Amino acid sequence: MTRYEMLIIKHFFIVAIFLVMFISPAGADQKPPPRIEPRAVVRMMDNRENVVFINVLSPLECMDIRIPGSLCIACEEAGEKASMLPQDRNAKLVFYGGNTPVEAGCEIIREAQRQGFANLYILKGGLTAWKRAGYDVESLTRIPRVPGSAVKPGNLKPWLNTESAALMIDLRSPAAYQSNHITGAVNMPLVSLHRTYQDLPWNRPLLVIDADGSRSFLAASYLRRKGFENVRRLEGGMTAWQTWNKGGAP
Amino acid sequence: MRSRSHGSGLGLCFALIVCLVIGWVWPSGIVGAAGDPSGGGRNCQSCHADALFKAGFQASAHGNNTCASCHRDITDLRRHMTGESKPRPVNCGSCHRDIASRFRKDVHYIKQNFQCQDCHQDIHSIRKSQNGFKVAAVENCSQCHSREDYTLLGHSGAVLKGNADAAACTDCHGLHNTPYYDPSLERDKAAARENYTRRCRSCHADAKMAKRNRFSTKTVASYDDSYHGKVLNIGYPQRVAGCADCHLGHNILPKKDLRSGMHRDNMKAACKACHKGFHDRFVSFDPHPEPLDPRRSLVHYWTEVFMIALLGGTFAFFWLHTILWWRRTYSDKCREGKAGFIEKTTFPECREEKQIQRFPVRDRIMHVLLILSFFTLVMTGFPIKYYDSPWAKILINIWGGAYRAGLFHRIAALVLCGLFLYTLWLSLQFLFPKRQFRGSLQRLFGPDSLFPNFKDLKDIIGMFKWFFGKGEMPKFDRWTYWEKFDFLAVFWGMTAIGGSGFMLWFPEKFSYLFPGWMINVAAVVHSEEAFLAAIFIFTVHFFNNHFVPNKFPLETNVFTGRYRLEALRHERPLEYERLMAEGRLDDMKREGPGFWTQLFAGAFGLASLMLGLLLTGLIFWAALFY
Repeated sequence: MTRYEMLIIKHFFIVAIFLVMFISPAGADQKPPPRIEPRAVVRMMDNRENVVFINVLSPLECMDIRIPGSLCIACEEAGEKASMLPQDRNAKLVFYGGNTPVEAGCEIIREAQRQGFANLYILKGGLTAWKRAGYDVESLTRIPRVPGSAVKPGNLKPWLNTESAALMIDLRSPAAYQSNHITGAVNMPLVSLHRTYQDLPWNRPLLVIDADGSRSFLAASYLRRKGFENVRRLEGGMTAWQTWNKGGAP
Repeated sequence: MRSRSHGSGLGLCFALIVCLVIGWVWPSGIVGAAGDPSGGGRNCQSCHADALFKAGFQASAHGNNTCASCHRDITDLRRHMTGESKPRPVNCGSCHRDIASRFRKDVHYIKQNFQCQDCHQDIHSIRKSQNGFKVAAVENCSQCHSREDYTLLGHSGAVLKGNADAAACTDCHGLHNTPYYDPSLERDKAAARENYTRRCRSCHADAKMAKRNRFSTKTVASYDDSYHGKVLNIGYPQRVAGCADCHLGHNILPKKDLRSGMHRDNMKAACKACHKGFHDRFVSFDPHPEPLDPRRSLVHYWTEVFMIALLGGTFAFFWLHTILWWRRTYSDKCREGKAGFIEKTTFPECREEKQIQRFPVRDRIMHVLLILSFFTLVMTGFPIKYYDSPWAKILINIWGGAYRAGLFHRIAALVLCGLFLYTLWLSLQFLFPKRQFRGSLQRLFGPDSLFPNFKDLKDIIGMFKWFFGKGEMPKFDRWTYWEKFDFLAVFWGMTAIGGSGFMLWFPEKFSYLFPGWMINVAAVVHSEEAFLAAIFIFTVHFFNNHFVPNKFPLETNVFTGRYRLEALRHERPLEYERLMAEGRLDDMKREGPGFWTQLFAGAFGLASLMLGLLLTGLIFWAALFY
């Protein structure tokens, strides 16, 4: 092999390493944190390890119910609340959501990885599994639930025909809304609903829509408590809507 | 909306000012509130002056309590009235301990963080419903779970119309302990299926309730007799349909109603949840089959009648044959013994004789494989057939559950099918050696054939005469008529049990050939034919070949391949004479079986016989008492 060829190969590797380091998708080098059972977390706490819970749901949900002592930092709030992460980089951070699994791409998890936290976990089954296991929770400002009916996906069109002035509010993240949404729905993420609800029209029927129907009840209750009288939710959320559109059960 | 809010805000301010003035004048503390209702009530009602907190509360279920009975943390009236201490949410569990404990597992708490007052919003005026508990439950649940979707029709609709037997929401879902099932977890889905099927059964299997409400408890019994029901009942609800899998939704209506999930047009959706790729006619499958009711399906009925007749006829003939045979042989032996004859066992002259080869290695291997696959099929299939017998669960758990048992069942079925096809190939080779068609008819009815001929009929008559001492035992050639029956029964059996088995294995694919109700027919054929095959082998075949007194306890020639010349001369004299006449006997003579062959034949043969007898006992126990 000539010196010239060696030089080409050397430069090729340098360029390749450069490309891998700087052009690969952000965070692709980071492994998602392992999932941990509630029982295992409690064992760590019993061993007096420094465990910090981080609730990645919206502030409304986190203040409504959370694992005692949790930090409330929603996935979407990583930028503004990153400073709330503990100083101790060896602390064990346990991220949790509600019924649905926390996505590994949740921004606050990636922020914690960037800041160099070594021990990150995602609570398996989230708050639901925690409660199911019988462990305590706390409410700081609980939103009293207000009874109200839901609209099944199969009944949505007839309901919209009846309530012609109805406004559909998609509570999911802008990215989820962009990927698919019901025609006519406006995006008002749950994470900022406590700030944006005042922009909603007071005199129109509202239909709140979430991903799977598990978060819209709280949002509907919140809006009713705030004075919106006619608030309904889409039963089963977008998942049920898509299933129904594919010819599944109404 | 806003104006009303402002109005109520002014009222609140006024009330607060009044309270502050009273609080300033009143001595600190709320001692009176914790005393009798009138004393405690008066203090609180001075500010909380709405009718709700006065007459409403007095008449409520909690009317005998004071305000402080529930609002226990309000101990400093001044701090309360000035707003310095905010009352914490009431802990209903301090009195309703059991309910609070159960509610920790309730889906409303687990998923939506419900507290007592979220459902019991009228807590200050709550009282027993005039319309009864069930109506109250339906009314309360339907505040969130809409009436049109959940409570207008079906069970709850009947409750609202005044039927006290009909199921309210709480009858199926429980009260304060509505279980939470995570649809992403298989174990939760199975638990939900098991739970709701049990709840449905609690009413639909109740004969008195059925009579009052004019429905049939056969619905439950027939489901239990279906594949879905049997597998669920034996403790493996993971992969079979429970009640709520087909009876979707809450507006459960008669199947003729277009809105019913059971309407033919809507059933596809229910079936699709588990079965993929079926023809539309698949939905004519009856999940609640009643084969003995001709009004449900004539084909199903007549199939069942035919199978019962087949079983009855076969067992009547062969059990009678067996009993008479045993009686004759045993009485002969007794008579000889009484006369002082020494029983011929290992007579010296036989030791000197050579043995002949009756079965080549190929046939012996086939028989061992047949035994193994047959026992596997019986031990994996019969626990499902008799799911409610005490031994069924034990046996199915030995296999590692219904799913694994099903897997072994299918593997064994394939082995048996392979043996059957190979036997078919050997039969064709026997009939048409080297593709020679000439002489095939002679071979078919010849002495080496397993196909019955006129002599077999004469032998049957001769045998019955011998049973009653009316003649000599017929002289048999190479194959007796009962051996021919054993062989040919496999052809019928494999067609019936194999064909129906494949239909049950691939019901969706077969829906392109047959309507769905043929699966019901296949289930009957498979189940009854399995009983016929198992019990025939374990009783008739075992007796004819092993337990007949002069062979008891085991005839090993099918495992060793060897046959004593003396036995050939006595048991198949025509074959012996034929071989002698043809000069073939010397060529067939062999050394006796080796040590390991004898050990295997004895151990495997006896183990198989004992296992067969044990299974016969278990099957009769289940068939007669469950």
